[in-house]
Amino acid sequence: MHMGMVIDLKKCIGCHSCAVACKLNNNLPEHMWWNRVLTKGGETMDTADGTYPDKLNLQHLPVNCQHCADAPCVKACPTGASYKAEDGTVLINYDKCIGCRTCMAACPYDARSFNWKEPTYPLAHAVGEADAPKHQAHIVEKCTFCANRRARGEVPACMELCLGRARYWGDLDDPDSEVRRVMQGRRKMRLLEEKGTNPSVYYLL
Amino acid sequence: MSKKNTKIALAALCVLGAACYLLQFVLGEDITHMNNFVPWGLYIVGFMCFTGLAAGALLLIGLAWLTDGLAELRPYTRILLICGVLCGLAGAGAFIFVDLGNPQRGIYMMLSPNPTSPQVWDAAVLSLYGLTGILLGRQAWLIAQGRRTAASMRPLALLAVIAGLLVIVTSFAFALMVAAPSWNEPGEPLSFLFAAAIIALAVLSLVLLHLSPLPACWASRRWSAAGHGSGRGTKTEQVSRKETFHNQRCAWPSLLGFEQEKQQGEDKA
Repeated sequence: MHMGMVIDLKKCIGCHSCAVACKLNNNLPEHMWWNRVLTKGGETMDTADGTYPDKLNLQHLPVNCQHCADAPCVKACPTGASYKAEDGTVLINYDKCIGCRTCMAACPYDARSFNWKEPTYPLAHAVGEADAPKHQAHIVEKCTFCANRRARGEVPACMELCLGRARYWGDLDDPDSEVRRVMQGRRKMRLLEEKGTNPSVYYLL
Repeated sequence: MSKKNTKIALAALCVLGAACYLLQFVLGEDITHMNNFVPWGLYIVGFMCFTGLAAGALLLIGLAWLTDGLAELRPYTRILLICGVLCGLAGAGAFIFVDLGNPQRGIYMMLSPNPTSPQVWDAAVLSLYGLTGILLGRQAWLIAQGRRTAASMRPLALLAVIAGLLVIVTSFAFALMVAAPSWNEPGEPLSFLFAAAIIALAVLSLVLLHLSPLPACWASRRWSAAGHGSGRGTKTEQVSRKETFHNQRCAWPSLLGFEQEKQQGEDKA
C-alpha cells in the first residue's frame, strides 16, 4: 500500500480553504501551517506573475508534506522519530523528537514546522477533531495526511473542504483507485523530482 | 590593548554569554529569531567550529607524534590537547545542547539510533575524539614523567590522526542534504578537513600569543630584518638571534619550521 494524493491544478481556485481546514482540524498553534497555498511568480501571496495586459498568469500551488517514498527527512532523523508508516505516509513520533531540526534542513519542500516556543492558540478553546495531535514545545511537526481521521476510515481534512474538488486521495499501488484513474491521460508533475525524493503527491497540469 | 584590558573584555563577554545561555533555556528557542525556513543558525556554526577545532587539534597532535620531522611541535601538543580537543568538545557540547529543542531526549540516539542519519555517526565520532583525547593526555603525562618513551605514543598518534580525519563524517550532515544545493556537493568533506586544521592552528596561535613573550620576540626579529636588508644577517647574527628566540621561548620560529630549516642549512654549510 502506498497512500498518495493527486491535486488537479486546473481545478484549484487558490481559495486557501485546504490550508484553513488543515489548521482547524489539527488545532494548529499560531504561526503554524502544515498546508500552504503558494503562488507562482508574483511578489506576494495571491499576486499574478508577468506583465499586464497579455502576459499575466496566476497559478496557485497547494503544498503540504509530499510524503516522499525516499524521504530525506526520515533518512536524516537521528532518533527515528520521523518514520515511514506501513501505508507509505511519513509520520513523526513526537515523544522521540529531540528538536535538532535536521529534518527541516533536509526537506526540500519546507513542509515541516517547528514549535519554537510553548504553543499558543488564537482561541481560548481547542478546535477541530477531538483526537487532533497534541502539540508540544520544541518538536517538529508536519502534515500527517490526517492520520487520526484515516484511522476512522475518513479522508484527510483538506480534501473535504476543497471548494474546487481538486484533491484526490487513495492508494497509488492500486490500479483501480481514484488517484490512479484521474491521472490517466493527464499531464502530471511532482515537485522537485530531480532531488530524488520520489514524492507521493502528484499535480495535474 | 593591554593584557589586563583584554582579560576584562573577555571576562565581560563570558558573563554576557552565560547570561544569554541561561536566558535561552528559560525563554526557549523563540528568542533566537530562527524560523521554519531558517531552522539552523549560529548555534550550528559554533558547533561546527568547535568540532573542527577538536578534530584539527587531534590531527596536529597525531602528526607531531607520528613523524619525527614535526618533533619540534611536540611541546605544544599539550596546549593543543587542552585548548583544542577538550575545550573544542566542551564548546561543541555546549552549543548543540542549547540548540536542541529537547536535549533530555538525546538518549534516543542510543536507544533507537537511525543508521542512515549522519548525526548519529557524528555523535559517535565526537565520542571517539573525547576518548582519544583522554588517552593522549594520559600517555603525554606518562612520557613527561619519564615512565614511557616517546616512541610509545605512535599507536595513539595514529589513532588521533584517523580520528581527526573522521571530521569528514561531520560534513556528511551537510553534504548529504539534497535540499541545500550549496552544501550538497563533493567538496564539502574536504572543506571541513581544511577548516579543521586551520581553526586548530589559529587557536594554537592565539593561545601562544597569550602564553609566550611573543611581542618582544617579534620585535627582535623585525629589528634584525630592518638592520640587515634581506633580514638574514650574518651567520653569527643568525645564531645569536636563534639564542634570543630560545631564551625568550618564542613559539613562532619552531612552530613554522623556521629554526629547523636554518639548522639544516647550517649543517650543510
